[in-house]
Amino acid sequence: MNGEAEMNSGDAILMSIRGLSKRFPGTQALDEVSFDIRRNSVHCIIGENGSGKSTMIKILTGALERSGGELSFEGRIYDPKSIREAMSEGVTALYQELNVVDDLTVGENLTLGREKSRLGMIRSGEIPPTLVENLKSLDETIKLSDRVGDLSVAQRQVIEIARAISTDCKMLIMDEPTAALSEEETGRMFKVIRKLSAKGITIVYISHKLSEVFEIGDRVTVLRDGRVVGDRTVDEIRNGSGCDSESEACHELIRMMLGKVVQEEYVPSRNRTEETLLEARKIRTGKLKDVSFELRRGEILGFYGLVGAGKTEIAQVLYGIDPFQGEILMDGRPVRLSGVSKALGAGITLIPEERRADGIFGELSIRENIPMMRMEKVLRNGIINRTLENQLADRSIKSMSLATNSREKKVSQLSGGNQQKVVISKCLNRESTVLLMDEPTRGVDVGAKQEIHDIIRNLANQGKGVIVFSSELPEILQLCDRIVLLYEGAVRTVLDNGRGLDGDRIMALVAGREASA
Amino acid sequence: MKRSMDLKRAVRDPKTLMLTLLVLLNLFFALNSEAFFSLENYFNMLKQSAMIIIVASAATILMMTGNFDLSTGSNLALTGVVYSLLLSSGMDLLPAALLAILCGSSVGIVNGLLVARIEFPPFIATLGTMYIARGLALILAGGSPVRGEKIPENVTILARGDWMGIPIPVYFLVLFVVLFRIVEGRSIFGKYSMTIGGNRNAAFYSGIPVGRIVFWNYQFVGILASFAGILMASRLAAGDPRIGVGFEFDVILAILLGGTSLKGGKGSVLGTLIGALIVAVLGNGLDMMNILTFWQGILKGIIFVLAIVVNEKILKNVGKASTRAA
Amino acid sequence: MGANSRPIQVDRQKIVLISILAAIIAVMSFLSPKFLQVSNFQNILLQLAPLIIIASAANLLMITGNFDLSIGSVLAFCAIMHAFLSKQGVPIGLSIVICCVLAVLWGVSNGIMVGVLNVNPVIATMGTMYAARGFAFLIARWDGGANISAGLPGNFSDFGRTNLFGVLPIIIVFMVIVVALFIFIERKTVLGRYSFAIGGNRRSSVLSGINVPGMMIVLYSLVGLLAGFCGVVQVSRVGSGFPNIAEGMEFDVVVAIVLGGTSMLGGSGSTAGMILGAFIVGTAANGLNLLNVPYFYQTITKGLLLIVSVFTDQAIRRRG
Repeated sequence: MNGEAEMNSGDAILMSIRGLSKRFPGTQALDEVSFDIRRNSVHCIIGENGSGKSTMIKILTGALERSGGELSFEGRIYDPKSIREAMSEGVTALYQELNVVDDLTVGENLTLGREKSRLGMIRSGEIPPTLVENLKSLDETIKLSDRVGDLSVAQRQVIEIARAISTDCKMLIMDEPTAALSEEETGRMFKVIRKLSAKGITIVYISHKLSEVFEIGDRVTVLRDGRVVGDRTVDEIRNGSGCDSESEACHELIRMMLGKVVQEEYVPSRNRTEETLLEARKIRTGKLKDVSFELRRGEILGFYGLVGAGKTEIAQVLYGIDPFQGEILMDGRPVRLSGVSKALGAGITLIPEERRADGIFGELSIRENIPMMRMEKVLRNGIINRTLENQLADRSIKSMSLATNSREKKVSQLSGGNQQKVVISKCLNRESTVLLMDEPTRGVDVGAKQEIHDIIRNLANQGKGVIVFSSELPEILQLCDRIVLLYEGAVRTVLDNGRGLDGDRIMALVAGREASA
Repeated sequence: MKRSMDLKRAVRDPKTLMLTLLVLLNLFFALNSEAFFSLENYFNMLKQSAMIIIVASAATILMMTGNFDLSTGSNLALTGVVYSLLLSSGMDLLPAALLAILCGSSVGIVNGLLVARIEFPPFIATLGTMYIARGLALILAGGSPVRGEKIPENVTILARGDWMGIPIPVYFLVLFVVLFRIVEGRSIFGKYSMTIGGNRNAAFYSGIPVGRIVFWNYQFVGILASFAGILMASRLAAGDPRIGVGFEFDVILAILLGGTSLKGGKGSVLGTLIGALIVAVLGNGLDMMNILTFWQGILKGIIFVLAIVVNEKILKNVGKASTRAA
Repeated sequence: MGANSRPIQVDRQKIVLISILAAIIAVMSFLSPKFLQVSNFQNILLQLAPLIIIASAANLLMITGNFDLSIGSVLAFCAIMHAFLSKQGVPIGLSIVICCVLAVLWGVSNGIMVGVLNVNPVIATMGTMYAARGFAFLIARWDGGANISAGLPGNFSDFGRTNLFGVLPIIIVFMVIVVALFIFIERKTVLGRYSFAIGGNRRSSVLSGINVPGMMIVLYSLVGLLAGFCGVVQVSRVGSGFPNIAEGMEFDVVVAIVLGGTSMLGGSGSTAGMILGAFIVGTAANGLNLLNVPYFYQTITKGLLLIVSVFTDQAIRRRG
């Protein structure tokens, strides 16, 4: 459908972005970004975490102010000061965090904020027919009387879409709409997107999943480190790269996204042993399907898969947060992981993914954060000893090369990379034998990333078992001795890292495009 | 299948448990005390709990937005004092009542401004006005109840009179419960209030004037608390500045017993009515059985916590577990 | 900026509090010659002592983001229980111990509801508030009246009226001890550190392996213990037990703590600030008293102080 849609609408440009920049303290999130969004197209924006995708959505929807550059929408200057202003111009976003009210019915959610009333009383049963039609045309299984809380995530998204397009929406931005959806639901979502396109609505589609770009995209813009590194039509990529299969075209995109991999080389951990430290047997939860693996002493084991493949779920099971069926053995003995304290007691520590929400104590200082998981280290006769605390903090600041001028600085005032180092120090003080690292370098700048990788290598060399969960393939390839590939909650295959490991093939495996070896 | 869904929903609805409890309490007391099961006694109970129910019906909608009001008891006392002072200065009943309510509703205005405009935590804002209104009541009354010879005798008609055999406060009670039931279920105001408590972001992005809705909720609670103050002053034929200490807790207790969530997002005026009646029946029934009134407070506390724990932690999960299994 | 911004910020807030307190003292001593006398300050201390003692523990609880509405009821319960037991011939010392144990049990029940069952603290402690107050009335009734004043043993009041070194009333001595203890707990112990952690980021605390339910039980028990103890001292000082004392005390405690700069959302606050808050309310009340202003103006002052101080605090935070 790609080519056709474009030809019909001519080359009219709906939104043009020129030299868009956004600076945050310490980082340049967007750097002179320029591209056009054509009327009535499905425009995909892809890029790794931290490439600037979400910053861009926020600017387009008026949630964030830009530092520089110009935007025009339908030929006029576009400068929304708030989300509502952007909506009134015809730009609406569908966020990952859903904005529907669970306790209301579908009909009530559709009309929310625009109820027909007489003397303040709602005239029930008077939902504008266009709204009902919009909903029916997107998904006819949803009934107006259903309670939204009882619906699936996909259905709730449809309600939000139906609501958005009823407000004279010209451009709908979708932020990873399929991240929480199953394969079947994803297929249905694509149908919805095609219907929207047929209605003449321009879609800006943000995604991690490359296969989706080829499935629904007309044009794709690739962002890397806040810059545009590619802006082509999907057909161009298909034809221009001289490859006829989609998977080869996929590789072309991957190359654009990752750029030249000039970073660190993989160095095998020095003290790898064959001794099994932790073994998981047939772990099953709502999301995971019979996941089994083993972690050996002194190695870095990587878990790689797309968003929603089950990485975080495995981490949560191992840290005693989620209940599960199956068996976990530490040093050959089964352990019951029914709570965080049990997991810690068994010698497992998690360095969580959501640093701000789950890792740091932002209002406390570096000194106060670091011993939090093992206060015994700074106690003398049961009392917190300031000297011990200072020594511990200074040691950690030094060994982590934490960039700060004082150990008394509030952690919330540190940069992302330094916050992550505080979290790691805090967790290392627990001196566990198994460390789970969920997205250890998400939102961290390149320099700090390398330092954190060195820290992880060091831990393995000290004889600990480290599990890295990451959605960044280069990171997995640089760090891990063995790689577990996940797809839809199941282990696809386990690979040994080393020469000849083909990043493209891994991509294909985790995208579900190739049968496992 | 459909029937089992309905059953599940009914079990999950906090009103079911509370209604059962209310019926059981009535049965128990009716069997154990002769005086309990009589029309007169029921009117008595309604009269006694009328003020709580009237204020709580408005405060239910407020709590649906995720806010609450600690100043209702002080507001009640302040209005009662102002009303009695105006009466003893020779003013007629109706203008005095209107002026007093106007005065009391200013407490609602201050609460609304503090919470909706300046974004104070509701606990602190209404705690502040609780002190201020109580202090004003004491100052105006000079520290002791306002009685005065000039207070006309017919002042008590509002609280003690009856019409067609039914006590007048019962009419008010029914009026306000029905009114706020309609507001809750049928009006835009009620739906917006619920939306604000359920998902504030969704409300905001849907263009709902969040601040204004919260403000008017405080305003309505303020007005009804003032009205309850008039009723109270009518019953006593005096304005007592010390009355209504702890009234705010009784109001909140009735609302929470009725299944409205402290976090907002859902609630029911009828549930509040049931909650208030449970407290009333319990107190009255124990009285009738000549059991020390002091057990009332204890039982109130225990039933309160148990009911909420059963509703929020157990019944809810019953429903969930079975849907997951299915 | 950076390095020492936290200490500076805390200091700024304390400076504001100290200035307000100094201003009140200056104005009052100008208006009333009786104000600036040792005996008057002893009066203020005597009045504030129970509040400060209980608020010390409640402050730590509020730092975790929770609070306790049952303070006044537990205080009344223990006061009347102490009078009742003493009248029944239980030795005074034993009776005090029993009352303190009962007070802790009230706290444990609050802690279990909030920490283990995850009941909202408003609901849990409101239930306790009703129940404990009900028992207080019931105990008075067991004794056969509305209060317990006659028939108490002769040495009943000895404990509460003890003066250390002949000058220092026992309650003030306890106040000093408790305040010192809680400043120490807040700064130097795991209990204090974990309180800040839980209030600052509950999820991080759970993931860091902090026993949050256990912490809740300990903190609510401490609040209960101190409330009960103050009840015992108070009934012993007065010499008769009334079941309706300390109604609304939970609010006074919240006012002192919030005035002192502890956020109701938790994560920040200090014992020192709480004491300043309590003194601001106490001296203002005392001063008005000396000026023969009817006591009920104090109520208004309390409300105004609360709203104005929170307002100022918000304004400062927004700007800086």
